[in-house]
Amino acid sequence: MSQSGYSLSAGRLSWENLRRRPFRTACLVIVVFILAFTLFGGSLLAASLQKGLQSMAKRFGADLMVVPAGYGEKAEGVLLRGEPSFFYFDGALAAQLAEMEGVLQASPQCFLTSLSTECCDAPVQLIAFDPATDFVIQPWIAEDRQNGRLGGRPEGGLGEGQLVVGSRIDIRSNGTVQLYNHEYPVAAQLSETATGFDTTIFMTRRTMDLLKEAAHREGFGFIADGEPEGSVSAVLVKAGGNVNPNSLAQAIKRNHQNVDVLVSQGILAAIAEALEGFVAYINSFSIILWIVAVVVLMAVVSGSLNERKKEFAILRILGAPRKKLVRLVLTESSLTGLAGSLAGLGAAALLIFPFNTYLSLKIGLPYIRPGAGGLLVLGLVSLALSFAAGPLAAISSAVRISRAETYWTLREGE
Amino acid sequence: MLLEIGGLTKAYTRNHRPFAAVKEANLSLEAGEFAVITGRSGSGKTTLLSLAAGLLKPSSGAVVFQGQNIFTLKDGEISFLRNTKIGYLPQGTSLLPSLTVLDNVRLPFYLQSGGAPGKGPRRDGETVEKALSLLDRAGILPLAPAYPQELSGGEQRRVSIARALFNAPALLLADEPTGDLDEQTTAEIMGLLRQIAKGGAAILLVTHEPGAVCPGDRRYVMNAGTLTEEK
Ligand SMILES: Nc1ncnc2c1ncn2[C@@H]1O[C@H](COP(=O)(O)OP(=O)(O)OP(=O)(O)O)[C@@H](O)[C@H]1O
Ligand SMILES: [Mg+2]
Repeated sequence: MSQSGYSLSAGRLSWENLRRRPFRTACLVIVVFILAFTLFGGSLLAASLQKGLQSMAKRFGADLMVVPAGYGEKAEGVLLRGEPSFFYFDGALAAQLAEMEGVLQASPQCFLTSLSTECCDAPVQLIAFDPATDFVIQPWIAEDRQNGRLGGRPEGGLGEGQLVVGSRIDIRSNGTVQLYNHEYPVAAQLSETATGFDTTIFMTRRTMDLLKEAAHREGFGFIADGEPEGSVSAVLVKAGGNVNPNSLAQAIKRNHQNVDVLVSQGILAAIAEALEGFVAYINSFSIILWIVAVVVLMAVVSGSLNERKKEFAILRILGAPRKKLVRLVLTESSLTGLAGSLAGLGAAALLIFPFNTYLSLKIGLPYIRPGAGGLLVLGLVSLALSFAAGPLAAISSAVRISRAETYWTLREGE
Repeated sequence: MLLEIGGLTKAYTRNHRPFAAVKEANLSLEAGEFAVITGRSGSGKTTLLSLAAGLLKPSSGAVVFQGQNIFTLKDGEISFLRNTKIGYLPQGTSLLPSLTVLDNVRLPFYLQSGGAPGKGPRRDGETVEKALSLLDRAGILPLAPAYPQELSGGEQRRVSIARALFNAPALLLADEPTGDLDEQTTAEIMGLLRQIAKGGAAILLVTHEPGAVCPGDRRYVMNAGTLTEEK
């Protein structure tokens, strides 16, 4: 008679043990699950916010943004959160600012808001720049050339009627975006920034005029229609090499009563500070949770020792060396640790990945998920840390079991 | 001489006072011999067997097994000895509740890395075959797939015996193997132990059964830690 049997390896014995004590096993798995979930979720959140901030800092090509008085907050909303808005003041300001001492470059921009949402899942901000003076948008386009999905872009700049769109704008299959019942060719799509720029469509001043004319013919009207010719929404300013942007902002405010001045350094610094606090909070919370988890696991493992004295005594009697007992205890905690940490990681991913955008809006900070490599590192580190908690908590118990002599006599009633 | 116990003493601390559970015990056993220890409860019988199996370290004295003082061995070596050459039937039930009867019996093979070299099965299938034949010999083959909780006390005891025999030990230590069993079952278990002794193993049996002793057995009495041989 030939029998097929499985090996009663340490893994098998541990598995049978775990199966027989479902409640204890569930406790062990759940503790590690919570740990892995928090470690991975927290670090993913922190890393995404940091990446978001970096990308935003890269996009902020201007030191100052001058907007009509009272619209500072709205302008910040446009930049950070993609809340479409529009406001206007006299376009002559751009030329005046360009002449001002300490100003290296000044370029006007015009804002328009499109509610015709054929292209997009949310209202879209339209921004027109002046190709002659622009020092912010055109460098992005150049830098983002590899992301330019579509051809037809003339050398050296954006052609008449052409658009450059943010990462979250949907482009039609024929390479256009429809605005006010007209199709406009897309010359390039920018990479994700997690800022308001992702839902923004850029064009030249000339294109915006054409777009408005076309829209008028279709019967659309704009609030800007009432504004005098040459009105602009914002003037972007680059400060000279050794000019402090804050002092320059003060100087501009002194010279021009009817403006607000946003200092991008200030915005970035405020965000960076909020982020630092948030990351520090996540980190300390993770450390505390890790310690608590190890302590809880220690209590569970050590609490089950009394109940298991007999089991270990039997194994000793049958000739298991001390090492084998240690291995059994560690294998059990490794199995529960692995199950808990994998499940926790998976749950964190399931919860966070699909709600990227929602989270980004909720937090009100730029948020970009790390790439595959970054995710892998975060995942592996979280996995290792949460997984290690189990065996680490079990090791003292394991050693205690293997040392104690009094356990090894089995008497009736024990 | 297979087993030679000399001047063996085990002192415990109880109520902050040293107290000898086993005092200067001497005992020797040849292969194939059958020795019976009787004695009142608490006299130190279990302690003596645990010392003989190397499960406890003595306060003084030696246990020489096959010419080797086992207390000079490292844990790994003494565990190996216990696994391959010493069968131990502990007092009370001693089956692992998470494993089936079959797996309980073949468990000893897996407790030393690589199994017991030189003898015994080499494949998992062979351990199953061997365990089944031992269960058959103990008269409980149909119980192989059952779990220990589903067995009676006498059936559990037979499983323990089958398990203790798995690696064909040279010495079998049995601590009241018929403790709570009826007359009929007791006789059957005793018959099983006699069979094992006939097979060449030495047996050291702790029992309260007056009828357990046969002519030719060595008889010992344990009294408050002191072991005396009755001639
Ligand atoms: N770890 C220990 N610490 C202190 N005293 C102990 C310890 N283990 C056993 N004893 C004591 O040693 C004595 C002998 O115990 P042992 O278990 O060897 O007795 P026994 O002869 O097997 O009894 P029984 O017939 O009831 O099984 C008892 O008085 C017991 O209380
Ligand atoms: Mg006893």
